[in-house]
Amino acid sequence: MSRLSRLAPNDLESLSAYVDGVLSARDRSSLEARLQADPELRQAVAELRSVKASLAGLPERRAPRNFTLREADVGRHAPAPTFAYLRFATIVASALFVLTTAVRSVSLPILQMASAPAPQFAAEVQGEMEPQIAGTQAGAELRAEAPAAAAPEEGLADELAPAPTPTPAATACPECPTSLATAKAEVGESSNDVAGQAGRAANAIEPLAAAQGALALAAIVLGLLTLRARRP
Amino acid sequence: MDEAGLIAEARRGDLDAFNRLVLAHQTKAFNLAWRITGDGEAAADATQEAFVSAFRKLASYRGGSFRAWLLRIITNACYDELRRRKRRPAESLEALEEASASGEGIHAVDPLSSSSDDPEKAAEQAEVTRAIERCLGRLPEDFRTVVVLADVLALDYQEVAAAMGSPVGTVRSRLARARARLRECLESSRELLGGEKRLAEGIAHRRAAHPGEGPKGKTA
Repeated sequence: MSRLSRLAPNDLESLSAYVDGVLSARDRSSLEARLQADPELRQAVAELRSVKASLAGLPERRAPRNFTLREADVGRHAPAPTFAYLRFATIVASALFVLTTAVRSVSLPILQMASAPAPQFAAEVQGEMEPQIAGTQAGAELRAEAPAAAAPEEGLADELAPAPTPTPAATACPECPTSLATAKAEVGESSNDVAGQAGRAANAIEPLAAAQGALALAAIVLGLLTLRARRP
Repeated sequence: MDEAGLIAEARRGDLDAFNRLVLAHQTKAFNLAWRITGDGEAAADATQEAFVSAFRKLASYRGGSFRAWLLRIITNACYDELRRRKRRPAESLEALEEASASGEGIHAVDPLSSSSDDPEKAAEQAEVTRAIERCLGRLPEDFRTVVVLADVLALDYQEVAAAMGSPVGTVRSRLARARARLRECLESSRELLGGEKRLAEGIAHRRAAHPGEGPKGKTA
């Protein structure tokens, strides 16, 4: 049995703390007084110092590698290439969907406005002129032309035509019918053109609606695949 | 950035900040694990696991010595690793010594130290080191941990207490008993004392050689 093991537990603890320099001033001075008188205690201190020094002298080993963490170590998986591609495709599909939606939502009201007023305008012009030309033969011809100009609202001219009654103004302007007929025909043609263009543009929008639907579907599917690729 | 700043960043999930803390503490952490497990591979596994655990538990760090907080996680990871491997550290340490003796020593004496100038002294030091390691491996886990923290890693009592999750008073008494048991082991193995004795005998022999010849010559 070593000298240290034979010491009283309290003495061993005090001597160990003394070696570490953590005793209070009072405890230290009283222990030092005992040490002066007791060679066994002094020897115990020497042994404790020897053990402590031996342990302090143990070589330190360099870490065999760095223990730094990667995203995957803490459950945060680094994006895999597939994930990156899918994510990109999702973003593109979503962006295109938003773009087509925006184009449709902006262009549709404009096209509706462009195509709707044309026949109305033609009908209005016709309605205004009708009273003046009702009594003339040209008026009859115009009545035949006008509905053609206002094709989308066929029958409107016929409805309007009987309503007004002939006025003296019609006869007061004998030359009017011809010029009015020309003007009316021009208006009819131009409004017909606008309506035709609007109709064609509206037809062009239809494939856009189909693309919009496809893009929405693609964005959803790609999004789901992306989420799946992200999981470990 | 100082340690407190890095800890704050790491708590917000910044892995780079945490990795800077890892680099700052990994040597002490690994050496604690190595001394507790007595096995380089087990120590590396425990250290890695402990750092992962530390990152996840950062919210539970309540100030004080970050190193002690980290070393406590290392200590617990080592106990888990030892239980997992169901290997006695003493056996591991013996395997380590064999590796050391066969030239694969991972705890070879520092070649830059003065002792390397004298091969005899270096061999002596290596023998003492092996004796201490063997005796460390034979200590109960908590005794081994306390001496490694206090005497090998040179932590103060407060840090040791924090690293062990024990009151300072417990650390003090446990450390004293661990030192006494280590001394007893070293004495009983006679390796340290034998080494000291051989060294002393060697010096005495060299001293005695010359004066011994003189009187002999005179008397002859």
